[in-house]
Amino acid sequence: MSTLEALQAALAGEHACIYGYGLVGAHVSDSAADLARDGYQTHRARREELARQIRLRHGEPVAALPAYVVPIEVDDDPSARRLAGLLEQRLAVLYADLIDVTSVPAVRELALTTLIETSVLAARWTGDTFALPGIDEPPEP
Amino acid sequence: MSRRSLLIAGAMVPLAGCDLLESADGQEPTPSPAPPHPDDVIRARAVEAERALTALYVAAAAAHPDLEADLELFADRHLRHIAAIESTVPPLPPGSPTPTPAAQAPATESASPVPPDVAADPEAVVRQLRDAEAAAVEERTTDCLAARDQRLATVMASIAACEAAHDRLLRSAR
Repeated sequence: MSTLEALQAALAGEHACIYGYGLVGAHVSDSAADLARDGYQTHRARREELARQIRLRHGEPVAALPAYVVPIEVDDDPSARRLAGLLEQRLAVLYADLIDVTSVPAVRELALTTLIETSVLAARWTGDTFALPGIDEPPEP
Repeated sequence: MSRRSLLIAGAMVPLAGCDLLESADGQEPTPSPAPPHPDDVIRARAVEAERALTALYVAAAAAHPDLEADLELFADRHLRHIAAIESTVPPLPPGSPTPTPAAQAPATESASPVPPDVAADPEAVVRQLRDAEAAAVEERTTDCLAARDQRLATVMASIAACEAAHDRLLRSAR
């Protein structure tokens, strides 16, 4: 996998995550509304940054799909929290992959910062953490 | 004489001077050992830091049994970090001598560690643990950016991410 391919994979993950956060925001209780809104904004900003990095490398940023299959049926606050936590844990894997393949220092730094951010968000949603976020694969729900 | 060869000639002078000084000391000029690979230095430092964090959690858990269950999970994750760092040591080429892995070198030196001091007040302990985690995030971030080997960079990034999550999780721990 090249840096460009790993950036595209991360962007595709962010598209899916933004879609998922739409569901999360619609179902979490008021106490988590700020977290859902912050997460949504964070992922949107990251989507723009990844698209910029891809264009710098003469790539065409992958587009979002019209809809996604959601791995957890979301119909209340606990299921919405579980989905948000799982989205962050799965994103962490994509950013760890990006560090694995890139030899570009700026991309490594971007992926590092994002891996840290996404793991903190996962901890806030789940109240727990993996020992090695992005390397430990999240279990199937 | 070209500019380049001038620079090389200039660079030779201090080296020759060093040799002269050592001889004047009555010592044989010894060939300096090959410097350790920069990634080995990173591994050794990070393993030492993860050992210290593990010891801090063990001491905190012993002093505060009411918090023990959680803290032991944190300590276990730091132990897994050590294993992950050691898993990045590249295999030796066949037929090469077996040097002491750099990552293991500090272990023998700190074989009889003094248990770290932990605060008596539970809130102060949590603050102490959070400060240690935050410092570790900074160190592993630096290590990630400096690592030559990409897998080592990934492991350092993942450890930093876990430690940042630890810091956040401890915020709500009492």
